[in-house]
Formats: sequence, C-alpha cells, structure tokens
Amino acid sequence: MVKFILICLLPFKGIIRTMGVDFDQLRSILRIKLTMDNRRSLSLSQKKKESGNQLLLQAFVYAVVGMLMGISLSSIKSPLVSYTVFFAFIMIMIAMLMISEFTNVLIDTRDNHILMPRPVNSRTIVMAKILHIAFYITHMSLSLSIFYIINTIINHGIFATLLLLILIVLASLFTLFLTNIFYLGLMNVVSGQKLKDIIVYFQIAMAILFMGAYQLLPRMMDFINIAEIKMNIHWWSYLIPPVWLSGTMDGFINGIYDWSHLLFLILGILVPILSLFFVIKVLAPRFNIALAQLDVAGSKKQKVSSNGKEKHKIMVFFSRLCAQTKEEATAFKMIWLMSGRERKYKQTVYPAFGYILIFGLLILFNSKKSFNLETLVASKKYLFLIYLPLFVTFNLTQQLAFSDQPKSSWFYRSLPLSNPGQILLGAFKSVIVKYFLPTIIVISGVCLSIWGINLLDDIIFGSLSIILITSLIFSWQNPQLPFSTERNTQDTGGNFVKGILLMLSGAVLGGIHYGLSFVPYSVLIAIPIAIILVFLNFRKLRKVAWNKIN
Amino acid sequence: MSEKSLTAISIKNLENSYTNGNIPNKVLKGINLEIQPGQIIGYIGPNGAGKSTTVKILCGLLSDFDGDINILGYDLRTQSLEIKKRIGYIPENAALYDTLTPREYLQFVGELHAMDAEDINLKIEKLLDLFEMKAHADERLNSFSKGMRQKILIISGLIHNPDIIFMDEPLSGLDANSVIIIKEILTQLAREGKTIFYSSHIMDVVEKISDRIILIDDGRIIADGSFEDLNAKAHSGSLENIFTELTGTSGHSEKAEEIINVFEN
Repeated sequence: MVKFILICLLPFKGIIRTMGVDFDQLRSILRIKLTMDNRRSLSLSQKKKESGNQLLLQAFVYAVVGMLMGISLSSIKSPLVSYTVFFAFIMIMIAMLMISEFTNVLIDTRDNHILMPRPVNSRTIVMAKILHIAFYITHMSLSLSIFYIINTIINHGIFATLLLLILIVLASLFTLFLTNIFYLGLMNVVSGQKLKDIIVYFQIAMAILFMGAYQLLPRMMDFINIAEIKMNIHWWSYLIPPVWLSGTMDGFINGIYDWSHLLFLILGILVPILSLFFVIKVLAPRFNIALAQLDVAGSKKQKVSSNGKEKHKIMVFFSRLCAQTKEEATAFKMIWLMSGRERKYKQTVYPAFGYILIFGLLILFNSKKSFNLETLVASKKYLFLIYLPLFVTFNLTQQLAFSDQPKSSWFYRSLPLSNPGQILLGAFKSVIVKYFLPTIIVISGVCLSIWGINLLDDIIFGSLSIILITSLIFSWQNPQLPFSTERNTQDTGGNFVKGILLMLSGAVLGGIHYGLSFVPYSVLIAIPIAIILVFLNFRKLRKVAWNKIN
Repeated sequence: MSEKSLTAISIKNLENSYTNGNIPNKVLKGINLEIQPGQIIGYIGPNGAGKSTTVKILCGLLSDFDGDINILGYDLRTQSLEIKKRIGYIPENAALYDTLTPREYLQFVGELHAMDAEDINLKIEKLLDLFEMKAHADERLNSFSKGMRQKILIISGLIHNPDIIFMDEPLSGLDANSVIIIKEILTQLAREGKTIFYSSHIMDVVEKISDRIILIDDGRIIADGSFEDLNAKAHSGSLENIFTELTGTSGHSEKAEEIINVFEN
C-alpha cells in the first residue's frame, strides 16, 4: 500500500521540484512516515499489535462504520435530509478521528530531533507534512464514505457521484480547518502533556460513539419513521456547513437551480477553499511555532488547582474508612491518584461508563411499543440496571495491572512488604470506591425515582454481589500488581474468556436476584450473607503472598 | 578548501535565551570560539551551563540565537543546508522512530543525505556488524536497550562520513568495550582531519581524548586550553578537580555530611 501511494506521487515530480522541494528526500520521508502509520494500531483497539498492515485494517473498520451509517440512511427519501446527515457524519467522524488517531502523528516532536540536523530544507519538510495529512484525510474520508459512494452510483448515476467526491474533499478540507483551529486554541492554553490528556478524552468519546452508533442507530431507525422526514430551508440553514454540501447535492439530483441552491453551491465551494488558504497562510505557521514550543513545554508553569486539597481530603477520608492496614491505605491512595492519570487506563476503562449509559437507555426504551412508564414500573427491568455496573467493575479490575511503563513498578519488589495482597486489596477497594460507588449512586437515583424507595434493599444487595463477584474473579486469576505489566500482544483468547465470565456472572447474579425477588424478605436476609462473603474474600485477598504473584 | 581548512567552527558572541512564561532566561551569555580542524574539543560544564544548547544551535536544531556562527566557511544562518550536509550529530538518548528497524532507520538517514542506495546498504551491513548489532538489524527499535539505541544513534551520526561530528554525551549506556572502541574511533577520525566537538560529564574520558578542553559555566567560557594548560593554571592533578575548582563549588564533603544527617535523623 505504501509503495502504491509513493508511485502515485511520481507524476507530480516536476511540479513538486519547481516548488523547491527535494523530491527524493520527500519520498524517503513519506515512505518512513507511512511505514510507521502502517505499524501503529488504532488507539481504539486495546492491544498493541506488531502488525504491518494497520492502514488497510483501519480502512476496513471505517468502512464498516460508514456502512452502518449508510444503511440506516438509505431509507430516507429526501436527498437533502440524507446527504445532510451523511456530510455531518463524515465531518464529525473526520474531526474526531483526526483528534483521536492522528494527533500523535501530527504532534510528533521526534521530527525536530531526527529531521532538523539533516540536510533537508524546510520546504521539503512542510511538503512532506502536507502530503502526509492529505493522504491521511483521503484515507479516512474515502473509507468512511465508500458505502455511500456506491449507493450514490446506484441511485443517482455517475455524475452525481463525481460531484459527491468533490464535495467530500471539500468537507474534509473544511473539517481540517476546524480541527486546526481546535488544536491551536488548545496548544495555546495547555502544555504538551496536558494536551495528550485531553486527547485521551476524545479517544474515549470516540469509543463510546462507535459503540453507540452500533447499538442505537439501527433501533432508532425502527423507532422513528424516518423515511418520510423532510427538511425545510430556513435562514439558519445557511449557517450549517453540512447543509451547504447536501443542498448542492440536492440541487443537482433534483435538477433545481434556484437561488437558495445556488447559494448553497457557492458557500459549499467557497468557504472550504477560503479556509484552506487560511490554514496555509495563517494557521500552519502558528501551528509550527506552537509545536516547536511543545518540546520545551515542560517549563510552562503548571497551574496548581485550588481544589486539589479538597480532592485529597475525600481520598484520605475514604482511605481511612476502607483500608485496614497502613500498606493498604497507601496502595488505596496511590491507585486513587494514578487511575485518574494513567492515560492508557483511562482510555480503556472510561468508555465502559459510556456503554452503561447506552445500555441503560436501551433497557429503558427497548420496546416496539411507545414508551410507557406504567409497564416499566410493573416490570423487573431494574435488575438489568443494577447489574450494568459489572461492565465497569470488570474493566476497572482487569485493566488495573496494565501500564505503558511497566518498568516503573520495580519499587514493589524492592519494598520490605510481607504480603503483596495488601496492595492488591488496597487497589481493589480504591477503584471500587472511586468509580463504582458514584456509578451505582447515579443508577440507584434513576431506579428509585422510577420504582420507588422499596427498591433500596435490592440495590444494596446488587452492589454487594457485584463487589463480591468482581473481587472473587480478581483474586482467582493470577493476580498482578497494579500498573506492573505490559499489555499482551496477543491476548484475544484471554479477552474472550473474560467476556464470557462477565456475561456468565451477570446472568448468575441476575438470576439469583430474580429468584429472590419472589420470596418476601429474602433480599434483606441475603444482604448480611453477602457482606460476610465479601469480608471473607477480602481477608483471603489480603493474604496473597509473593509466590502467587507473577 | 584552503579557506575552509583554516577554521572548522567559528563562534562570535553567541547568545541565546528562552522565555519561561514572560521571564526571559538567558542560557548563553556571549560564547566566542575558534576551532581548528583535526581537533577533539571537550566541551564541559555543570548541569544547565548551556552545553547542549550550544550543540543544538551548532547543529541547526535551534535557529533562534544572537551572534555569528561560521562552520566550514559557511554561515549557519544562510547556508545551514550546506553545513548540515557535512556534520554529524550524536545526541544522548535521543528520539528515534521507534516502530522502524535499525536497517530501515539508517537507510532513511542515508537517503536524506542523498547517498547512493548501494553505498547505504553496504555501509549499514558493515557498521551494524562492527557494532555487534547485526543480529538485531531487523527488529523494531522499541525493543532495544539504552545502549543498543545509542549505538544506532552513533551509526546514524557517522554514516554519511561527516567532516565535523557533534556529540552530546554519546557514550551514555554503552558497555566498557564499546566505550573503548568509540574513543579509538574518535582519535583516528581526528587524525584524518575531522573535527570532533564532544560534550560530556565523564571527566576521565574528556581528559584522555580531548586536544582542547572548553569549560563553560552559567553561559560563559571560564577555561579554554589543553589539559596541560588547565592543569598548569589550577594545579589540581585531574580534570575532575579542575572542574570543581573552576566552577566554584567547594565543600563537597560538608554537603555530603549534611545529606547523611538528614537520612539518619
């Protein structure tokens, strides 16, 4: 694939040379960059893979997402509506992907050290960067829209498709402009490390978005009768970028050439091109300056947050409440702080909260009939809601062992620690209190407001069962100290087993709870039993010795 | 050629500052140097004295400086490309493109220097073999140890046969055998007429290989000359002692005692 792209460059050799660019160097840089891209796996995938074909794989993933979108759109009759949604989708996806996947490529401070001492002129470097970005955007937009392009060929013929291709390019350019502004704004406000932290949140949002699109879109299509949706053009329609492009498409397909469609055409072509000029002339130079400063950004003053002390108060309070030994309390506090800062941990665990939201909505509204509070109250759907946090607790505890810098865990073994179980238990309690407790409080808020206060015992029993099953699985596996191992390169089997375990324990717990709900007062009796079991398992976990740790 | 062989590097009134927030922080406060070809220059100084900054400016990594720099007869500001063709830069633990293999990375560097493809391959083979890295030639760099990465950095700095070699703590992480080899390489390269600008904290190495030692402190040159010259001035016997004396930090043993006191109480 890399070779093919480089060959595509050959016809432009003459033009590129006249711009003062060294063509051979340009090709070398691009080849290296693309080779590296090809080995860099999507940030959405949790495993580090030593693969050499990531670009094709990514294209495939994007195409599938685009297809899901395209299928749900294909029933819409009005081209204006369907293309508006399509362009909005393309633009949002490109912006999000630029931020979540391309940031590391775009903000690569290694370039400063590797390319600067070499005899490469700045025009060649800039050209390489532009072509690299251009390739990346083309790669994304084409794979995302491939389904819709085919759809357009079938429905509207070849000329409409050509127009669509042009409009996709324009949409990409305009998105590039928007992301550029976003980056510049961000880089002016925060330092390099902080920037990476913020980008992690975009990656998390991206993961949730993918999941949400996959789960919700097809159902939503059932829910609303979208085939007949029509859109009227108001004055503010001219302010929405996707409408410019879809308006142009609409005008072409239906053969309408009135004033409003002409205006859309002009806006759709002019604004992206103007924004491109703005990027090249104004934004790109500033961007490079900001980029060069990222290297020394460590010297930027860190803002000390004023509520830092307050946050620590909560942490110290809970560590005193939950931990029984000094070591446990230390581990509790350390994990409390680190779990909020370790990027990879956030990136893999935080999406689970989004999944809860998505599945929660699915459970509440998943009926072909219209939403009805009375039937909901009569049902026992609250059981699903109560056990949803299993997603979170499983992720929290399973991901705890992994870190990007596993080597920094050397200190565990250099400490005079009698049994590392104390650290495991402290870590376990820490993530449970920090993440599970707020989650279940929110969920119980929802449940109590729907089903009433007499659900309280069910919620307490449910939370205890979740803690019990998670801690059992946590201690049954070969436990590993927090943030001490590298993510396995090939662990698909393990993940599968974990998925099965998750489903199974959810079903078992839900089943038991469902059974208990028929026997009066049984839940109230089950609560103390659960407490004792949790307590016993904690005691076992605390005693885990060094020889059990691998 | 004749005018070029006069001076390899000429630095006049070099000043550099970076702004930390709104406070300008001056790193270099007027460095003046004339360096002849065929010399090994040991460039030493305490942490934060401006050593790395000087090297980075000379290699074209930092373009924001005041003063005039002339390298091999070319002006650094206007003819940096010509200079970069003729210099090699070996930094300490610097960034590499981690997902590449040494072979790919070195090939890339060679191509940037417009070397002939066959020539590149030949040299990569030989150099990787000589540095005992041949077994790892097709592994990705992210699995390499510190010393292995440093070897790749050294090869990438020398592969295009530069006239001047800038080194910033180049021996970091290397084992004793490799250190001896590198020292020998540097001595022989200097004999061939190449200039070596060597910045380091390891005083023993600097003392042994340098023809001329430049000591900077707080952005200024405070001593300049051969080891014998410096020794004659300071009468201290070793470069380590001279360094301590000239950079004005004394009372090390008292400080050590204080530190121990903190631990014990």
